[in-house]
Amino acid sequence: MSVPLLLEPRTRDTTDALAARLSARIARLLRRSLHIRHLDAGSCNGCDWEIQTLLGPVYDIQRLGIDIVASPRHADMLLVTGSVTRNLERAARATYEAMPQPGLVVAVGACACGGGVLHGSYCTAGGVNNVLPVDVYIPGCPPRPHALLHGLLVALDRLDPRIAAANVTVDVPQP
Amino acid sequence: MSHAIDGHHDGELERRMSNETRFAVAPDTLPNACLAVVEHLNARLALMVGEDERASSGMFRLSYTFAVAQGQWLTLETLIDPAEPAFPSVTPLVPAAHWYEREVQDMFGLTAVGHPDPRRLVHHDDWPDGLHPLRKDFDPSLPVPRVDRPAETFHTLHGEGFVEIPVGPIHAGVIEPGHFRFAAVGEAVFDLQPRLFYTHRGIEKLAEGKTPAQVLQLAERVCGACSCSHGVSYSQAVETLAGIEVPPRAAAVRTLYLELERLYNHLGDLGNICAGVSFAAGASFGAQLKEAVQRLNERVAGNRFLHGVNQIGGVRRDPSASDLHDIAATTTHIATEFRSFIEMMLSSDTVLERLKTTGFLPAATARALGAVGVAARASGVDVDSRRDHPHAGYPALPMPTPVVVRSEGDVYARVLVRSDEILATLAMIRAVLDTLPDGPAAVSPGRVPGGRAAFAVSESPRGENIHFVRTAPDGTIERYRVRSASYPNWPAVAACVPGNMVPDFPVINKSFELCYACLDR
Amino acid sequence: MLNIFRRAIRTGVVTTGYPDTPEPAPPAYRGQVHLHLAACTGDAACARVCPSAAISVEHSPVGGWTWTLDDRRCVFCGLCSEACPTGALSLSNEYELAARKPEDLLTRVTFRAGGTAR
Repeated sequence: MSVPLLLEPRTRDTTDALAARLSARIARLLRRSLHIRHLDAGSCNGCDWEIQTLLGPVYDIQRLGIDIVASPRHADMLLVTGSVTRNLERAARATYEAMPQPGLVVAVGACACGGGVLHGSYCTAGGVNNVLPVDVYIPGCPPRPHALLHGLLVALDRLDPRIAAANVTVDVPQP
Repeated sequence: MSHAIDGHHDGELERRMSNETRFAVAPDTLPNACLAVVEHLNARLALMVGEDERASSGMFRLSYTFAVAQGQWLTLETLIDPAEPAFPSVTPLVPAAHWYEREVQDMFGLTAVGHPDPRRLVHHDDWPDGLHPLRKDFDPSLPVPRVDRPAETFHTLHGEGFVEIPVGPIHAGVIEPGHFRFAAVGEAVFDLQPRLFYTHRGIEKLAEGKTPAQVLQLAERVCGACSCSHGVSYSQAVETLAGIEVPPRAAAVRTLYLELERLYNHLGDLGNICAGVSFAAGASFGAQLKEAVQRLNERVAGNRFLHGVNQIGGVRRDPSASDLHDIAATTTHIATEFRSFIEMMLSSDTVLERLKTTGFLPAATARALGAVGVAARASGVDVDSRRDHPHAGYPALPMPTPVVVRSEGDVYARVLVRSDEILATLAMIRAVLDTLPDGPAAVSPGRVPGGRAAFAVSESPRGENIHFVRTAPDGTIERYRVRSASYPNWPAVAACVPGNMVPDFPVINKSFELCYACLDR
Repeated sequence: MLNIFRRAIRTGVVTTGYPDTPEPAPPAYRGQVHLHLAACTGDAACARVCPSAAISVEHSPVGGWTWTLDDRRCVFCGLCSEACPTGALSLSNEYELAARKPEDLLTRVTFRAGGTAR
């Protein structure tokens, strides 16, 4: 089966917009069948247990066409937990490089999304996006299995994100 | 007691906790003093803490703490002159000290002279020489360069037929990172060298200068799967040094949460052991039961891993009458389901075939390494901190803590210990629900006093978790040391794998069910 | 073997219908932090207790303040809601927080001084 990578006419695009279009394309291509490699980049084990739970009888992600595979070489997505510790940074990069492109990176949990309680430590990168390009963030400490399912389906464009940047202005009396 | 270390000690020190005796010893008499404590008092090395006190006393302090008798601790302390940053290693006489001393070498730059295996432990090969994160003059905000140093991590075996199998740090399953180097002859493992501390997050350094309440959030996240136990150990340490006692209801609720944590972990572990021997039906039923308890946790405590149930001075999540009813109903249902699950698992010959005699840990090895928890109890070592060092609401329960000890020492014994402990846990949960006192669920800790130290223990599903806390004069955290149950138990895994088949390693590893995160911190 | 099948049949289907069937988190669940605008006084108790520096409060030299929450860092501990003297913060049971861009996880509320209404 051959799938043209870019269906729309290429226009002069900024790199960011091109990247965004490309990841939308990946999502469309992988929508019904996604192979994930889990990458523990220094988590507390909480997020990892919840990912493991997705494979069990109650959440059963295979019913959604999603499965976890043994090698990054078979994967379309890295599901990364932990804030990327110094001792795992090289392994994390090597895992990313072993994944065929185009591929997605999803940051799971507060440590992976933004460093969580570990911000300021001498031996963590303070979040996956400081090491790898992140496509989707799933906040939580840890995210409950439903939140993981929601995030995975958002990454695949099968569900829409429910939150967006909020900028609210409120008038208060002069003190 | 003084007889045991007669001639070695320089004098008894002032008590910092009512159940701890402290002696100061000179560095050169330290190894023999430790040996005397172990031999004469039948003691187990439970904790070793290094501290940088150059700003106050001008010295480094090393404290070796032993569990001596029911509820009693004995600590030998020595001061090391920074002009000569070295101390005689205790490890040749007391093997359980091996990792503690290697860690002190990495984190404080104090050389353990005569250590039989002085390689790095926490730092990996590319960490620069001469940089020690737990020294007070280490600035955590500066980037640490990666340097090209000769690799010292592994010894290699040579010989005809030897195959070296490197595994990890990123594994094929959804598990934590660690590197294992097997030397195998055919299928049989001859030697196993683990390389751990990949998930070292610098939690102990991060805690320095934070308030006791902020550090509780770190303590709960040392390990996702024994979060409640870490929270209880840490809170108790701060409560001890502040001299406050939690209300009876808070103590009982802590016991309730600790037992719920044990329940979901043990159920999940049994399911995972089924998965480790490819018994899919057992793995599924185990996962279902674990999920039922985690959903209960979420309904009662707001988090599936019981994050946020503790506070200094008591509990933050006092279960309501309907929560208690929910716990009673859910655990009753689980009791019925669990009996049929374990009967199914243990009536399958193919499962038993894989479990029996696999991963044998001799009692003498378990003792020498200071192993704790399920791993120790399945090898005939009678330790359980719920009974030995009473904490939370355990002393107030109408029943003594049932300690399950077996002598076989194999994966099967660790399965049976967990299975019996699940039954005991269900009985203890019922006992807490029947006797739960009314009253407040927390007291205000007030201002935590500065310049004091204490440690406290709780029994997690993996064994004894010890947290040591010293406060600075302003009441913030000066030194924080976490010794999780996985710390003394990991070397036991490496010791019991040789002699087994390579494909048995996953199930042996799962039968110990150690945590990389709470080892590495 | 027969027992295993019997048990499997007795258990039936345990798999969740999510996401086709919505499954709200239980009331006790600690999800996204919500700010009640009318109650916020800008005293920054929340920012001081936050263990992951997910909340910040910045005061403007001309009066007023900006309250910012970064859901990427939030660990949903609830310390902010306990610390707030006016009860302006609560933890909802909203858990579907996945986002594609980091800025989608930022909530910024500007309290502008000089107005009359709240």
